[in-house]
Amino acid sequence: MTMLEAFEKIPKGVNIIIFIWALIGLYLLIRDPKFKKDKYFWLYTVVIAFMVAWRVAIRILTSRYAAGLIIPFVVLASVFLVNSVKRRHLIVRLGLYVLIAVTGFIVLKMNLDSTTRNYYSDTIAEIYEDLGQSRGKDYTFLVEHDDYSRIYFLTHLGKKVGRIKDEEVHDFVFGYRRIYPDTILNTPSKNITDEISRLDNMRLLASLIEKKTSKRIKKQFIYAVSGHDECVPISKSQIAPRAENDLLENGDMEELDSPEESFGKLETYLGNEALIRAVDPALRTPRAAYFTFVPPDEPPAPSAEGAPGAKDYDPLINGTAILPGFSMQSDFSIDGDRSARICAADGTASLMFEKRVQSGRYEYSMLVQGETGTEICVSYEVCRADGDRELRTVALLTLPDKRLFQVRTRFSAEDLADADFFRVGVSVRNGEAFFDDFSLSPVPAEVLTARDAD
Amino acid sequence: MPDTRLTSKNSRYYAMLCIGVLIYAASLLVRLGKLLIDPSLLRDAAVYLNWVNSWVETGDFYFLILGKAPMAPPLPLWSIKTLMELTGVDAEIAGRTLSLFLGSLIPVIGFFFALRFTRSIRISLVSALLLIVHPRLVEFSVQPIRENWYIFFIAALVFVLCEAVRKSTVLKWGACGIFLGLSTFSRLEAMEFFPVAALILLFLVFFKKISLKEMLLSGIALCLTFGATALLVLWGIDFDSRFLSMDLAWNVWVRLLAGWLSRIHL
Repeated sequence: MTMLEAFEKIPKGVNIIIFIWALIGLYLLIRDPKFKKDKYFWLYTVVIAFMVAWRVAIRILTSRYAAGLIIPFVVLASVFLVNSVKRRHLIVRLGLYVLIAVTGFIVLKMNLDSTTRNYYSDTIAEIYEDLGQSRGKDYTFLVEHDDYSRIYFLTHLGKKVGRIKDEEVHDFVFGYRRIYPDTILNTPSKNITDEISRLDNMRLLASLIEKKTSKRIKKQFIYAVSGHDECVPISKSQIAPRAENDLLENGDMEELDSPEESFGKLETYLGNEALIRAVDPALRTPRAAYFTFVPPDEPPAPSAEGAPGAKDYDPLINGTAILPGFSMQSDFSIDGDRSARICAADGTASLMFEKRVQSGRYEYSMLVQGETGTEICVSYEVCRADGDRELRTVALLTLPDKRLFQVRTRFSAEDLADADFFRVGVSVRNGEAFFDDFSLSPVPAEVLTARDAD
Repeated sequence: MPDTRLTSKNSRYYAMLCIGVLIYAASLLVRLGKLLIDPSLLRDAAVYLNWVNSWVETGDFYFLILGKAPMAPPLPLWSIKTLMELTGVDAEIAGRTLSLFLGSLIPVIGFFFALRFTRSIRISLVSALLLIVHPRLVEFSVQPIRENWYIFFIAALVFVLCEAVRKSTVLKWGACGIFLGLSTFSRLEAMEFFPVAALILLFLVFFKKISLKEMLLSGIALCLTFGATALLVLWGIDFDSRFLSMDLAWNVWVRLLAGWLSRIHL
């Protein structure tokens, strides 16, 4: 960023037409004998010059930093407009009228362009549809940039998505590459697609959308990128036996018992290997308020008792956290005797398994069945010995119906780099679902390579 | 050519009031039209609303300043949050309402500033017209972003500065301090008006419009009202987040000054 770039940003921020008019207006004022001898006029001129110099000195980052100059420049532009149409020959006046009309038209058009430039209004819906079609409409994915508050906010509001710049697309893709980023470009960028395809454990689902805007066809390329995540409907007869090398001993939830009896068992059973936590829906970040294990003889927290998601069930594990609406119990069976039910009426509840394993490639899978529309978030947390943690979302999906699904995803060695141990988990947002057969198995490199080739 | 000179003081006052109301109405109409055509949210607007939501739900602004969003503009966020709490509307409606209100007032202030600057009602009306249809201002006004607060307050500041230049009184410089404080807490760039104010005061002393004593008094009035405004804003934030005010004030001030100084690359 150089100082000279400010001279590009300032006209852009003020509006290039008004900037030119203002310069001419200033020139006219300086030549005007009335103003020429007016020291106040010179004071104002020096102040405006100072405002420009200030923005050059601090090297404004975007044209929005020049917004403070709009009013003085508009006033100077008005001086030009008013002065240009008085006391001149008719032909000159007519010419100036035409000039003003043309430039006025350009300003008007800029206004209209800014109004109609939202090419991305249906982005989320279109990606939904596109992914649904590409996978036979068996299920749909919620496409979203988790961890990236602005897009998260937009998608949760169901709002139209604003403009996304090319360089930000790059950040999305490479910064949050395991999250189904929908990247939107005005022009196709072959470099990005090439780079994505080279990344380990990634897949590119590309879609070209043509949109008619202001009588012009705008082409957009939308890329949905994912890891090797699978979410397929599965019947009970198709459920495979657990792998011998499964690292999650508690993958089946059969050990879970009725609420009255099972707390102690669950505590022993999950022990230090699992924790349940609720993420504050307001923060929408991993700044979680952790559920703590409460001895069964302690009364449940009042907030959880009256919460919408908890009132129908006897919460097996209550939170001492202030967040209501979460419960977990095991009175329903997917496979075997019992399954874990995670309910999050308003927010997110997570179940995470903590493993201290060597770095490598793993496949993480589970069975899930739940209410239509329930959002499931598969995530993992890289933990370091110094207490530093980083939660990364692997996949976000919305259950399209009440069928049983198998979710499978993979972690690469890069994903677990710098981790002393890690946690894999699943979260439920705004709904409820039953989980079973959690499995975490090492994946031989050659298998992964073969799948990548597909 | 119609005579645009306004002779009687009263009729001039009412004419100006009418013009101001008309400009405001026209400005509001244009912005509402824009909002109807394109209700999309800018990315930054979404970020601000996200912060406001977090603040409302956690009652905690402290973490925004210290961790998540060190450059979060306190005044716009606080005013959106306050309107949400007073009326029960969501963050987007509160933000857009405030933005529309302030953004539509900008052409009115622009009109009066142009009148003071050029002393021509024709130029002032053209300025107001340009400000009403200015693409960027129209876009800002329908988005809950800090630019509306910033432009509105610095426009008000510049207008009061013009008044102070024409006839300097301690009261006017005090008003400048209030608007300077409000604009600084909307956007850091408004700090540029500190040297501008100093420049104007020196100008007035140099041309013997005011005495040295009056200059000092005016400068003190500006600084005091600026400080009082800043403390009031901080108190409002602190009142909600229940943190020690001096701690928060200290952090905000240090960050404001550090941010300001770090961006100067002369």
